[in-house]
Amino acid sequence: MFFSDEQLLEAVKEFKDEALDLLNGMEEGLLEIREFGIGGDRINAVFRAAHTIKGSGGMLKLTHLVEFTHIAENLLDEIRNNKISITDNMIDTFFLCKDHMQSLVLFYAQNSKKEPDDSLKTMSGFLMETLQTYLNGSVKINAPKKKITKNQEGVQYWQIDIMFSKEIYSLGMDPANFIRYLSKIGEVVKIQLNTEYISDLEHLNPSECLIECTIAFRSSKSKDEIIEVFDFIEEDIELKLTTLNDAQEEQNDENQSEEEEEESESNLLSSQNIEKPIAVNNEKETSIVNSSSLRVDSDKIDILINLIGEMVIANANVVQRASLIENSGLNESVSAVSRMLEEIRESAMKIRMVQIGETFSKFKRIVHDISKQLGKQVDLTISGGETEMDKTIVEKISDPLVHIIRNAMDHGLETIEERIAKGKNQKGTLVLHAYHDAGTIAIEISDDGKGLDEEKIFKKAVERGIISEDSKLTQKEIFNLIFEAGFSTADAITSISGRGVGMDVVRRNIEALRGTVDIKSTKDKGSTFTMRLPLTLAIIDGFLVKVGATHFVIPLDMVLECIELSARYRNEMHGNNYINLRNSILPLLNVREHFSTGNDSENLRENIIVVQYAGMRFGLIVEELHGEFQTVIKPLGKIFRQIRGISGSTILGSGEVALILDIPMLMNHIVALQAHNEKGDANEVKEN
Amino acid sequence: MISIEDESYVISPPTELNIHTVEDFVENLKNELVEDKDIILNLADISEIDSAGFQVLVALKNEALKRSVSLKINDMSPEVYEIITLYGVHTFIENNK
Repeated sequence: MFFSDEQLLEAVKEFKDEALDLLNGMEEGLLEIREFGIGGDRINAVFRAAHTIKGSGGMLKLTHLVEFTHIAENLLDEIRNNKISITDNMIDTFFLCKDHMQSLVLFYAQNSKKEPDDSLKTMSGFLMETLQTYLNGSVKINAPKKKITKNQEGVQYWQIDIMFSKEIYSLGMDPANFIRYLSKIGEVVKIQLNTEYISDLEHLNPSECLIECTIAFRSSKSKDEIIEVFDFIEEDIELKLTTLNDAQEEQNDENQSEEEEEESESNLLSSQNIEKPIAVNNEKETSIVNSSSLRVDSDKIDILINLIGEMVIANANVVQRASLIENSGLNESVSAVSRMLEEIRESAMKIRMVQIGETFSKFKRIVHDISKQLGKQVDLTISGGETEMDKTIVEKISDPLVHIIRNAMDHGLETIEERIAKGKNQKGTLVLHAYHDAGTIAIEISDDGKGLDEEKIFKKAVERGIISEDSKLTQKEIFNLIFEAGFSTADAITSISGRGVGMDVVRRNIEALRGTVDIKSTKDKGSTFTMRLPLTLAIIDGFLVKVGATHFVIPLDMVLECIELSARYRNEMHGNNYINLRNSILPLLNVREHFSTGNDSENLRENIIVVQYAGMRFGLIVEELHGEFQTVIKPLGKIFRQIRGISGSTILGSGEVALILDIPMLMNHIVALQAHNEKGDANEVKEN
Repeated sequence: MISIEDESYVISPPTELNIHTVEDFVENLKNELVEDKDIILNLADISEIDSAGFQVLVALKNEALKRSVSLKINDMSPEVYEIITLYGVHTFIENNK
């Protein structure tokens, strides 16, 4: 009754974010329980997640979600109190329940209508029945009472979040007195102390006040009258007052009766026991409690980063003009601004950086599900989860990763019998590993399965008309065939992989992010897929060079060194495209020839820029070197998108356009050229 | 105030457990509770307790959790019961009685 439909939808959307976090936590908890049992705080964590979702859902009148969650919660509670022991099947059911709750939450977030559609209800019914069987019929379905309590005239429900300042004791105040006083002007329905803020004994400073709590309060007093209670300590308190709808009362009634048996002593005072009801935002809020993190619409950050990008370009212009004026004072100021701009840019980019671990932990569940489906045993090892990368990229690589993992488990890992026959551990291993490498993030997915079968892939590719029968391909080229559209090697098409749409989509998605993917594989030892992705999409540090009249930018992270293409090197080349650089062969690519930029400055000195990517190095022959340069990547227009070797463009201070070289693509080009020139060698490789 | 009985620390806080006494009390606890022994709290004689005193009890509980030792409450005065219920953590006690 306090919400308009619109407000409700808004509140539900906020609830969605919180609920999805909780559900993720629940999933992780379940995975841990499966592995280590219900001990520690694991079962409590899962229970609390369900409990909090039910509570928050209740506040928003998401009746169906509440009813459903309630039963799951009942079973969890029985398990928690050792009345029912958990089984693998039960865990699987809980996984389904988690998925279903997620569907429900997403449904509510999208639809203002209150009732989920039939398919969701059918699923609810099915799961509720299953849960009920586990409950052995001994516990009655104790769904929340659907009574609608009519509010007495003027009586409202409030959620009061209070944080007292640390110094309040020294002012001679006791927070307890204010709470006692509250019960004189209304009813304190429930109080939740946030014990997280009270440390253990070792770190306790006893003269600091560490009381923070959330109070469900019922009173006929107005907001101002309630705030008046705290008038006395106005300066030393952070107070948030929110009205709740009457669903909250139901919730609290129920909580109170359940509470005694439901919350065991061990978790109540533990720091994790914070079931903070979500704040239902509306105009009734008086102040906002500071928090250590906040959710920001990612569009806002994108706008900020875009603006900073524009500033970087504008600044390049300023720097250039200032250098022409040759005024030392001006130059100093300009370089100060540039330095600060760089710092701003870096901090702005950091906002977007997230740890990849969250995405990784999602795979635990996927691996669990698939291994069950396939009847294979899989040990998943994850490392490098703390590696940070741009959120957009993290989101976009999730699908390709899932696909590669599925393929690895389906096609890569053998069945238990096969593994035993081969003398391998019957449990297959799958390793996810992320790390920084030369300005890129590398993500490796390795398995210890049977490896890619070159012959089979070759045959299949011929069958599918991707290559002709007499093609001579290197091992690497053969492996890369699996990324071709319409390629599938599965003998039987399973529901997990092998639908023939997949690996080509994987490669396309990764390339769209300016990334690459490559494969290493040894027969019967396993395969490793390595994805390499840029740290960020928008701004890079570049190295500016000029060839003829055209400017090119090379991503600085990939530049190893610059050397002059001296007469000595030139003589040694004998017209070939490589030089001997400190006793190793360095393949070269002449940028002028490659991009046919014209031939107007024949006698200019030439330089070689040695670049490294994915453990390989090669040299680019360019003319002028202009040095380090911060650059904002602008995508090329549609017409130019087909040009291989150019990943984007940028605008220089002078207003000229510079093209950003796509090093991975050029690297592929060189590798292909080499393979072409060394066909004979290639055949040998193949025979090996 | 703090003694060792049957391999457990038995703690009897000052009868007035408030902002004026907590500092000494906590200092005392920090000095005495050197080993990971179970803790027994005797709260029967507390005639006055405020939020500062209350949060020491919570900190003790947290400490016990950290050390993985048990914390039991022997008995408590009505004053202690009142503040613990006021802050909504009455199960803290009920499970320990």
